[in-house]
Amino acid sequence: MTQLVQLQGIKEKLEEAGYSVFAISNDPVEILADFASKHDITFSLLSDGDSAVIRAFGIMNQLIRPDEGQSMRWHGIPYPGTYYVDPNMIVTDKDFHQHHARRASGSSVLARALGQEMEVHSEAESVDVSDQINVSIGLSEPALQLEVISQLLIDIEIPEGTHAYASGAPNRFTCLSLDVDGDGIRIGDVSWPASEPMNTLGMDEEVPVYKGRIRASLPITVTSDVIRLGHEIPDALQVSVAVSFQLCDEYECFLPERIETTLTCALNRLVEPEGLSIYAERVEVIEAETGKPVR
Amino acid sequence: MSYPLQGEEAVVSQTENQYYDEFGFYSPQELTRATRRQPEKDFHTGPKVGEVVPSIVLPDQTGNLINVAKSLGSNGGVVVFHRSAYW
Repeated sequence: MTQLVQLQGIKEKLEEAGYSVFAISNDPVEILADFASKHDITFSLLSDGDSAVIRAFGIMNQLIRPDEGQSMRWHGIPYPGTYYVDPNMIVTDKDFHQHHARRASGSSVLARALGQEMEVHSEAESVDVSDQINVSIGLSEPALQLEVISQLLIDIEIPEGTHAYASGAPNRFTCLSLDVDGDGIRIGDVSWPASEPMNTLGMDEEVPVYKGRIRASLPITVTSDVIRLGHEIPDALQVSVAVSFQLCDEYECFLPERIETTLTCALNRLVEPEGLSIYAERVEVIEAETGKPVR
Repeated sequence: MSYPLQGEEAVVSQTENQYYDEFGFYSPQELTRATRRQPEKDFHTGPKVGEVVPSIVLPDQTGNLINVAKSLGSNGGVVVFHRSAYW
């Protein structure tokens, strides 16, 4: 699965920072061994074959009846999520997804574990749209992948001596805001940094503003819209981004501006597009080789 | 005990296609099929921040028994629950 391959990509950085990484599913050991050798996975893929640990955590997907999807161990899967634990197994952070197919990208796991700001991936396209303010837009991953939540990272540099209004400023100002749109993608809420209160000349009120360099980020996920039957899956998706803002300096306010751009995001193929049938085939082969049932 | 939802919220997607679920997922399968049933927003997400997680002692891909509590790094670890390596 794509997520495991992405986790392998961040394993070294996590370990250098003193974190080990474990992935748990109810896959049999043989299936995990097969996947690990095929995709060079060197961190621990743990097999919770009877879902005992998944049940102990209280995260087994109970919407699936025991008689459903037995060929792929559908019954017993967990809700997908990630726990960040300290050396004493105490949860320091966690991240869960309602849909069973959804998962966090490698770089979001890394940034969350290390408490770091994400970086625009060097292999991802980024665009620089500079006007009154410098704006650059990029992606946390080299490419988007179906149902893997990546981050769109928007860096905004507000010129020295000026400020932009943040959400919560009076209506007469145009607050810094983002409009992101595109076919086949799902966009989450924008995370903005904290604004600072400012006393504007001649006004007896505090107004929230941004100054200097700020980073906004928002989750971006490719949806199954792109794999509608009978259509080719595209190699890339277009994401349109518009930044609205209004700058002021100590003496005057400039007119509100809106700058628009389009980011081309590469779309990766699934690492195992025929995952279910490969799973079934591998189970048959392993059972023939070992003479023991895998399910 | 109930655990609140953490992380990304579902986004409702309305389309004319009857096989889209409320999360915007399309599949040729009807919404009543097991693969398409989804939990309520307040589904259980296990131990909360600040709580100790249950012990994890499981075989890895090489068949070796791994005790996660004893294999953590100096700062801890990341424990990912996923549905399957292959699908």
